[in-house]
Amino acid sequence: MAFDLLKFLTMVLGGFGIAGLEAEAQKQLEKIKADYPDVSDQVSALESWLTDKLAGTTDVAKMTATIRGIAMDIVNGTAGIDPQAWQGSV
Amino acid sequence: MKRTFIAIALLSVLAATFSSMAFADAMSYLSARTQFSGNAGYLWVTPNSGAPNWQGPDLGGALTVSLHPQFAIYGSYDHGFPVAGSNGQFNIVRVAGSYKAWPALGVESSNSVFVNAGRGWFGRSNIRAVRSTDAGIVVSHLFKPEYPSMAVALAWSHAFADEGAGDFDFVKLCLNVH
Repeated sequence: MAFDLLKFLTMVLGGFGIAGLEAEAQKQLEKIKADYPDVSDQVSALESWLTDKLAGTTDVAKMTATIRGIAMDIVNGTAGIDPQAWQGSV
Repeated sequence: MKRTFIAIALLSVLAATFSSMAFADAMSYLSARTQFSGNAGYLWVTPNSGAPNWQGPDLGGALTVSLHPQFAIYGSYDHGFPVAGSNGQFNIVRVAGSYKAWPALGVESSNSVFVNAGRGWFGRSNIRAVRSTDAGIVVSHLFKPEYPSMAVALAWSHAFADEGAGDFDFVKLCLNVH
């Protein structure tokens, strides 16, 4: 049987528990707001901003399709000669 | 199971990328995409396995390979200096894949949101105390156009600790330079 990348990615993301991670983040934000009431408004604003920006990233099917596209770009050599400088490595 | 999936996914991407390249081409590819960065900030770690929470100033560095404008693999090291001396110092080593979740490809913005997942090694005097599969979110603001190599970042990660250790979270606010 041929290797099905889409099925594999869906299994990886589902297995890793993307929705579980979202629930954990939510729990931590609530804890911060309870522990530090002085900054609860700012934390709520950040939460709202993040929820807006990350809409769809906890959807396993949508994220799988995006990652599959990225993987195919890399494998096919169409990811660009000099990808943008990266800032996620903290 | 989780760590196997992550390891297979990261190694598959690297293997697929280099399998069709000559050695010189692979080196050229790597040098164009590899970046060192350093950061300094403050680190908070929640309690785990009966150990108290930890916090303090933090210095870190990372080696990042940008395989795609929306995806990179990086290895990083962090060393934290405790606020309370009795807590000991804190070390973190991570190898992770990072997905640029926002903005979309081709959209310019000073702000970015990254989602990352990988393996982590933690400890107060070494990096063998706790191992984990971890995942997190990074919010970054680049100071461009004035300082395009400098960013302030807020990172939250959740560590799904390997057997025998409790899960925990770590949060870092830092200035990152590349």
